[in-house]
Amino acid sequence: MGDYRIGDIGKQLGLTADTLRYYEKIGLLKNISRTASGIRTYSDKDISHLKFIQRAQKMNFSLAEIKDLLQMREDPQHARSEVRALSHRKLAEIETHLQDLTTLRNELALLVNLCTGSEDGCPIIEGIEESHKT
Amino acid sequence: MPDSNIDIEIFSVPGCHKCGKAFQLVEAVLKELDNKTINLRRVDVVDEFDYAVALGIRATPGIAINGVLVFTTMPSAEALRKAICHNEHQE
Repeated sequence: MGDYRIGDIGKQLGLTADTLRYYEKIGLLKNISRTASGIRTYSDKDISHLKFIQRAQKMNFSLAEIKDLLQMREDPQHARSEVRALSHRKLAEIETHLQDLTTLRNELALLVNLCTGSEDGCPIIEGIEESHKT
Repeated sequence: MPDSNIDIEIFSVPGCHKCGKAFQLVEAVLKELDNKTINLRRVDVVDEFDYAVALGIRATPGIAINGVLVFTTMPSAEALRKAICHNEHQE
């Protein structure tokens, strides 16, 4: 399954050829196949890794942390204790972030509903602005 | 043995026409039930935004009984009566 060229990855994930080569150089991507003429081809598993990298980067994980986590993903049973600790720490960070996001989503949902439910502008925004003035 | 208090909170915001109606409805039902241990409070979402969000308010009016959001829109008098009686029996 899967035999994607650099251009395919670019279209699918928005990553440049330089980025993919860099990931390979620093060991984020390993064992990238090549055709007889030396052209890199990426498997579904490589794409899965790249998606993981993109998600982790959005959460501000460093490339070094992502590399460790990818190694753990490959062989969870034999992960080093530092990498296990890292995964626990990152999980805690994500849980906190999720709670923050959930609260923010709920706050925005309330704001949106209050604003759309009123014929007289947005009373809650005006109310908050007033309270900041005092 | 005296009944425990029941706290009813109506979440409203200035400019919300249904909120006033919800308040009138709750007052009418409480008058009918004639339960002196029920505390009614009108919560302005602008003033107590964090509390409203924490309770799950996503729109107004909202009605909470004993700190639990029970109605997320204007209830019928019957539904309100049932919810209050349910809490009375739980106390």
